[in-house]
Amino acid sequence: MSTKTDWLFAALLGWCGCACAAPDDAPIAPAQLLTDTAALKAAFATRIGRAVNVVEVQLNPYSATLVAQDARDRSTIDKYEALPGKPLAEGEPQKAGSLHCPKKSIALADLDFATGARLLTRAQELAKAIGSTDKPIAVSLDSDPFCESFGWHVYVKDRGDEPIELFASTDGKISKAQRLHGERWEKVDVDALLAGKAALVTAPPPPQAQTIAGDGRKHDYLRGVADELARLEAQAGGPLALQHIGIFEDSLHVDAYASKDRRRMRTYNFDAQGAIRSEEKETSDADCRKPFTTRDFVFDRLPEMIAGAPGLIPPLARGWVHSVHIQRGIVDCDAPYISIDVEDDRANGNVEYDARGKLRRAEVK
Amino acid sequence: MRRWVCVLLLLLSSLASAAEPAAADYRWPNLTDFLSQLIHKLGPPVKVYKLKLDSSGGVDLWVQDQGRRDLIDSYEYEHGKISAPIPIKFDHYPTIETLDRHVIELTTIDFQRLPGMLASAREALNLPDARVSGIELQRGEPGGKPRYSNIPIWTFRMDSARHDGSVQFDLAGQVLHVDKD
Repeated sequence: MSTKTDWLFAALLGWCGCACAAPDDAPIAPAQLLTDTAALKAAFATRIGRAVNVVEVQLNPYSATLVAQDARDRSTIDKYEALPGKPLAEGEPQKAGSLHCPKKSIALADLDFATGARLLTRAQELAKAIGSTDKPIAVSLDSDPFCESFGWHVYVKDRGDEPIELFASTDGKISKAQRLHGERWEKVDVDALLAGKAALVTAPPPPQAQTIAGDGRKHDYLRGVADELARLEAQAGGPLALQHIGIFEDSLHVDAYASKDRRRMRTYNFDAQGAIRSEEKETSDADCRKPFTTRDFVFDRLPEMIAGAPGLIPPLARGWVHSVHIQRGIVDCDAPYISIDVEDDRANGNVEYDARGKLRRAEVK
Repeated sequence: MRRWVCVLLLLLSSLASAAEPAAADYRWPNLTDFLSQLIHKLGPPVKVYKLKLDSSGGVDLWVQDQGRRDLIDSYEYEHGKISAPIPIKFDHYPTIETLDRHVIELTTIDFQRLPGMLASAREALNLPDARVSGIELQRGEPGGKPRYSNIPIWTFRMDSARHDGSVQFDLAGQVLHVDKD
C-alpha cells in the first residue's frame, strides 16, 4: 500500500516538475529598463522567439511595451509588455487594422533601445536647462501623424506650456528638435540651450478667466436677454462691439471684439444662474472683424420672434426652440441676421430673419 | 390579419432550430416571438426601415408608421419584452416618397437564412472563430459604392482576436461584398 502511495506521489511530483517548470522558462525583464537596454531587448527577443518587425515601443522606468508584426505576415501583430524584474508574458494578439502606420517598422534584431534611452536623458537635461516644470519620463518609438518620420520621440514642455518634440532616428544618426510656438513648429537648438548659449522665448501665460457671480435665480434666456446685454454694456462703458450672440434656454454666450484692431475677442458666458465667466482670446483668422451693436438689428423683437418660431414651421408647431444665433453673414460679412433653431422629437428646423426683422425662411431641415 | 400572421410565423418558425448549431457562437434572439408581438401590436403590413441585432442578441427594429408614413419608430426587444415606440429623429427630415422607397416589406425577409449566412460570413472572411459584433439589414449600396441599386442588404460585422471584417448579403443569401482588415 505504502509502496503504491509512494509511487503515486513520485509520479505526481514528476508531472508537477514538468508542468510547473513552464512559467520559469519565461525570460525575465531587467530591473532597470532604461539602463539595461541590451537585456531588455534580449528578453523581448527570447519571449517572441521569431523574426518580427517592431512598429511601436513605449519605454519608461516602470514598463516597456512593444508592438511587433510577424516578419512573414504583417497582419499578425502582437503586443508584449516587460515589467522590471518580472517574467515577460506571452504577446496579446492585436487587430490587423489597429496600426496607424503599418509600413513603418524596424526589425527587432536591428533595434537599439539605448538610442531611445539616450534621447530621454537628453530631454530630461533640456527640461532642466529651460526651467520646465515638466520632467519627461517616457520615450516612444513610433511615427508622426503623417507616417513620415519613424523613430524615437520625447516631448518636453517649455515654461509657457508649449511642447518641444525631440526626435532621434532608430540608428541615432538623425537628431532634431522642434517647438510648437503659437501655431507654428520652429526648430530648437538643443545643444545651444544645454550649453547656455541660447534661450527660449516663451509665450506669456494665457490671461485668466474672470467670473462674476450671478443673482442665483434661474434664468430662461430664450425669454429675453435685454437685461444681460445692458449689464455687459454698463460694465464696458458703452455699446459692445459684437461678433456673435448665442442664446440657449440655460446659457447665453456673447462674443465681442476687445481691441481696436479686432485681433482680440472677449467672450462672456452666462450660466443658468446668471453668473458670467469671461475670458479673452485671439480672433479667428477667418473672422471678418466687422462688429455690430444691438442697434444694428431688431433686438427689441427678439422675444416675440423666438416664441413664435415653432409656429412658423407646421410639422414642428409643437416643437421648441433649441438655440438662437445672431451674427453677420459668414461668407459676405453682411448685416447681422437672426437664426432660430427649432426641434421636436423627430425633426430639426430653422427660422431666419434679416436685420430688419423680415422673415427669410422657416423650414424643416 | 390572422392568416397574415400565420404565414409570417411559418416563415420564422424554423429560425430557432436552424440557429441551433451556431447557438454556442451567437445567441440568436427569438425573432419569432419578437415579430409576432410586433405584428399583434401594429397590424400588417410591417415595413422595415432598418433591423439591427447586436452582439448579445438584442434587437432594434425601425418601422415606418403606416398611419403617418413620414414617421419612423424604433422598437427594441430584449429578454422577451418589446419596448414602446421610440421616435426616430433624422438629421434631415425625409419625405414620404424617400421613406417609401427605403422600407422593406417584412414578408419579403427570409429570417431562416440568417444562421447559414453567418456560416458563409465566417467562411468568406476565412475566420472560423470570428464572433458577431452586429448584424444589420437595410437598403443601401453593396460595399458602400454608389451603383444606384438601393437593394436590401444584410451586413454581418465580425471580429476575431486579430481581424475585423464584414460580409454583405442580398435577401437570398448571396454574398455581395467582403471586407477584411
